[in-house]
Amino acid sequence: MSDTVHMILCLMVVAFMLFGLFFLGVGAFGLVKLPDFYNRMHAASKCMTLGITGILIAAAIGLSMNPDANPVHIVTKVLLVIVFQYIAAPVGAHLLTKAAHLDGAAKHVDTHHDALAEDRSKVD
Amino acid sequence: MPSLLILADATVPAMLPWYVRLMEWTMTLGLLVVAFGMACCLYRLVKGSHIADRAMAVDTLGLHLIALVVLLSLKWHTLLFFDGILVLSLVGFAGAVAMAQYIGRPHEDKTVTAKPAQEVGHE
Repeated sequence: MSDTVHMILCLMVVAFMLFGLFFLGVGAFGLVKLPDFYNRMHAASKCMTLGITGILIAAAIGLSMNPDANPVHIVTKVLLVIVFQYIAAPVGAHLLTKAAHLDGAAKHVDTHHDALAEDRSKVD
Repeated sequence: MPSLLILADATVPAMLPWYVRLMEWTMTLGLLVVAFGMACCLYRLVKGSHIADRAMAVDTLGLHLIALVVLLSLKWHTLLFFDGILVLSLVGFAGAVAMAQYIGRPHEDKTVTAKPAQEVGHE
């Protein structure tokens, strides 16, 4: 591998890593600062998925540079985790938020629309 | 000086080319960001205010653990722990679903009606 290719791959690792770390940090900060459970779940599910994606892509590039490693194995494993995260994270967040709404989790005072509560009151 | 701690990473030899050193420094910065994120998750886990908040904090802690394993694999140039990320993501999803089933279960005591949602203000 020539030095130029090595440099480009290293800089790609750095770029994807910084992208992922930015979203990971923002999501964690939102977990502390946002006012109610629904807002916090918003930060946790979306930012974390994107942050993990960036870090995993960086890892796929960075670990494939190792001459002993087989890039196909690494990329397959990373793609498996990314696809699973993109399916599992929204499903888990939706289930948890719906359960919390059913249990009466506190809402922020500025909440001006709650469609699920209106639907449920119509059924009752 | 503590602020230069990242730049003075003693594990990075100075004779490596600048882009390799930049990559190593990025990983050290990444470890700090993951530590900050884990601290935020632990704060939410302790403070909570609703049981779903704690379940969400544990789920997010699992995602940070995946990031930690990936960063350490990159830093140590090993694939030894790389199978763990798939297990961690599967277990995290199963845990979130199980906690959702537990939180959203129907109340066994029929005299207790479902609690109306209270409102919280600015802190």
